Amino acid sequence: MFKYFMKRFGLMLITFIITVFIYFVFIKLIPDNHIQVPGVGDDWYEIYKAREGWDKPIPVQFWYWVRNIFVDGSFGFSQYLMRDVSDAYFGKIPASIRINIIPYFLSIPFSIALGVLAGLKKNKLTDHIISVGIMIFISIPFFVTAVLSQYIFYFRLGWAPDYKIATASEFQELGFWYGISTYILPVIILTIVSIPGFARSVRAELTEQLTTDYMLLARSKGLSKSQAVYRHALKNALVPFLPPVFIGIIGILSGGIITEQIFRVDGTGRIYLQAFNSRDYALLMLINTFGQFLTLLSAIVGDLSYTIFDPRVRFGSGKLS
Amino acid sequence: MRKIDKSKLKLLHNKNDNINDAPLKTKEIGYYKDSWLRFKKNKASLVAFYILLFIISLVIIGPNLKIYNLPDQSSTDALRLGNLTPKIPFLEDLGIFDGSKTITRGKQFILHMNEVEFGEGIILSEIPQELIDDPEVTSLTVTVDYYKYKNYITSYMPENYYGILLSNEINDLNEDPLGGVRRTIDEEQFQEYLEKNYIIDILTIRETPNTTDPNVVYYQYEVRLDQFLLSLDQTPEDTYFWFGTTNQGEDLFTKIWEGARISIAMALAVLLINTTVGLVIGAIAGYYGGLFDLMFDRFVEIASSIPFLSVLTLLTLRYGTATWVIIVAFTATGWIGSYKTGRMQFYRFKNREYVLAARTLGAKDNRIMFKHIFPNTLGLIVTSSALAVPAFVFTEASFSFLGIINYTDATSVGMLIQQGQSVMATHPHLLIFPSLYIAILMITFNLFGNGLRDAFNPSLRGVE
Repeated sequence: MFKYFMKRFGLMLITFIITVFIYFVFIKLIPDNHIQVPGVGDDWYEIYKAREGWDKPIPVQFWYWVRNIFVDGSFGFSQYLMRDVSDAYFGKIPASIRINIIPYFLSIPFSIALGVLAGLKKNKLTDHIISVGIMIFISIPFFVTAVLSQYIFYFRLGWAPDYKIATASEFQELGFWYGISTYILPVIILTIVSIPGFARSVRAELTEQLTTDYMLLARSKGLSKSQAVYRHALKNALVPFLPPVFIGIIGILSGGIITEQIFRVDGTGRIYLQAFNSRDYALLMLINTFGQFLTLLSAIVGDLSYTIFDPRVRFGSGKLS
Repeated sequence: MRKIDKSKLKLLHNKNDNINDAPLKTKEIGYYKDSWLRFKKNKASLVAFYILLFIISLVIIGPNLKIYNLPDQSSTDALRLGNLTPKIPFLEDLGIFDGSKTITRGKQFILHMNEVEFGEGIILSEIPQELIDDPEVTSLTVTVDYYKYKNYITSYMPENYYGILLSNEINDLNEDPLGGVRRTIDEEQFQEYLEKNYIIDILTIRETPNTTDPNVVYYQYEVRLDQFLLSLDQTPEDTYFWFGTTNQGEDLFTKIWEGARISIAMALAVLLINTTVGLVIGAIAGYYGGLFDLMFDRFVEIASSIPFLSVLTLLTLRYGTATWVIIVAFTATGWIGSYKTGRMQFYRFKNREYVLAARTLGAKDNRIMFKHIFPNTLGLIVTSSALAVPAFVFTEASFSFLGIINYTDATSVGMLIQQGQSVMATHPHLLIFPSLYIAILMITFNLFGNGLRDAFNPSLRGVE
C-alpha cells in the first residue's frame, strides 16, 4: 500500500517538475526587453539581473529561480509592481477564500439533497423539475448567470445593496453589516451554480445503486424501501463523492477569475488578469506554479482519501500498480 | 484469399426439396437507424434539435438579413445612431420592443422638446402639470420614442444645450450650444439636401470670396440636418433595429450572428483537428502498442497536466489573439480527449475474434483498422463531438468575456456581453440579447448532445 502510494507520488512529482520547467522555458522565450529610463539610475535592474540571472541561459535561470525559492522564499521580482511577486500574490489569497468558502460548504448539502431526491423520485415530477433546473444551470455559462443576476437584482429590482462586493474602505465607512450584505448576492449565485454538476452525479450514482442486485436482496430479505435505501444504497452512492469534497477545499485557494472580475473581488483571480494584461511574467510564472502545485496537492489528497474511504481501492491496490 | 477451381465444387441442394424458410418481411434496422429512432423518442432532445437547426440556419443567414452598412461607410454617422433600443415590426403594436425608453433629463430640455415642432411625438408619457409648475423640480422622467429622441438630439438640439448655455453664463465663455448639430455644407450639398428635404432649418449663410473668379460668390450654409434621413434615408418611424444598436451604432442583431458564426466555425475547426489528430495517434498507439504506446502515454500524461489557461496565456502573450492562435491554443492539448477514446477502443477491439478472423483471411493492418475497428469507435466520437462544440463555445465566450481572448479582427459574443456589462445600467439591451443567445444555444446544444449520447449507447436500449 505504502509502496504503491509512494510510486504514485513520485510520478506526480516528476510530472509537476517537468510541467513547471516547460512553462518556465516558454515564459522566458517571450521577448521581454528592458529599456532604461534616461537620466534615472538603474540599480535595481542590475541587482535583480545578478540575483535571478537574467543574462544567463534559460536552464541556469531556472536553477536560480528554484534556488531563490528555497533560500529566500522569493518567486521572482516583478518589474511592473516593483516588488517581490510572492508578497503581492499570497496576500490576495484570503480575499479569494472569503468569497469562495461559504458557497462551497453551502452547495454540498444542497446538491446531495437535490441529487438524492431526484434519484429516489426518478421519472416523477420532482425529478423532472430538478433535472430541468440542473440542465439549465449547467448549460448557461457562469459569467452570463452572474452578470444577469447583477442586472436583475441590483439595477432592475434594487434588492442587492451593490453589484460588487464592498472594499475594505467601504467596510469602514458604511459599516460592517453593509459590507456583509454585499456578499449575499455573489454567495447565492456561486452556490447556485456549483450545485448542478454535483447534484447530477449524485443522482446518476444513486439510480445506478438502486438497480443493483444487493438492493434486490435487501428488499427480498424484508427491509422496507426506505431502510434499504438509507442503509445500503445511499452509503454506497455517496462514497465516490467524499474525495472530491476534500479536493474541492484545495480549489478554494485559487479564486475563480470570472467571479472576481464580475464582483470586483480583490483576490487571486483578478491579480491573474492584471498580470496578463500588464505582461508581468514573473507573476504569471508564480501563478502557474502555484496552480500546478494545487493540482498536485489535490491529486495526492484524492488518492489518499480514496484509499481511506473506499475499501475496494485499499484491498485491490496491489493489482492497480 | 486462395483461388479455388469452381469445377471442383458440387451443389448438394436438391431442387425438389421444399424450402420452408420465408424471407423476413420487416425492414432491417441498423445501428444508426436504431439510434435515430431512439433519439426521436426523447422529446426534449428532439425539440432542442429543431431549435438548434433554427439557430444554425440563423448563424448562416443571420448576418445578411439586415442590409445596413453605415458603420463601414461613415463611423461618425453610425456613432450618432448608437445605443438605440430594440424595435421589431408587429411586436411593437403589442407594446414590447417598440423602441421606447424611460429617460431622465433636465426639465427645461424636456419641456422645450415637448413644445417645438420637431419634437412632436417624442414624449409618449404624460407629464404631470404639478411637476411642471413646481419650481423645485429640475429634472423630469419620461418615456420617449427613443428613435425619435435620438434623432432630436443628433439633429435638432444636443442634450447638453442648456448645460452649455449655463456654463457660458457662469464662466463668461462663448461656446456654441448648438455645436453638436450644426453642419456646414456647400452650395451643391445644400441643393441636394434641399431637394431631399433633409434640412430642418438654416442657421446662417456665409459668403466666402472666391479667389479665382471674384464675380462668382461661394456660399456656405450652416444648417441643421435630419440625421436619420441623412444617414439612413428613413424617418425614425420606419427604422427598425430588431435588437437595437451597439454604442458604435452597429446593428446588434447582425453583430450577434456574426459573433456566433465565428465561434461556431472555430468550434468546428477545433473539433475537426482534435478528432483527426487524436484518433490517428490513438489508433496507432492502441493498435500497435509496444514502446511507442508506452512513450506516448507518458508524454500525454505530462501534456494533459498543463492547464488550458496556461497554454492560452502563453500563446496569446507571444502571438497576439488572431483567430488562428486561439485555434492552436484549443488544439494544443485538446486532442488528448479523442486520443484516449481512440486508443482505448483500438486496444480493446484489436484482440477480438472478428479481428482475428479478418486477419486470418489476410486483411492488412490498414483494412482492419479502418474497416473493422474504426466503425466501433464512431458512435463514441459522434457523441463526444456533439458535446465538444458547446464546450468550445462555452470556454471561448468565457475567455473573451474576460478579455484574455480579444480578437483584433472580429467581435465574439463574449466580447459583446462584456461590452454590454459595462453599460448595463443605461443600455440593458446590449447585455440581455447576447446573454439570451448564449444561454439558449448552450441549453439546446447540451440537451441535443445528451440525447445523442443516450441514443448512441446501445446498452440503454429498452431501459427507459
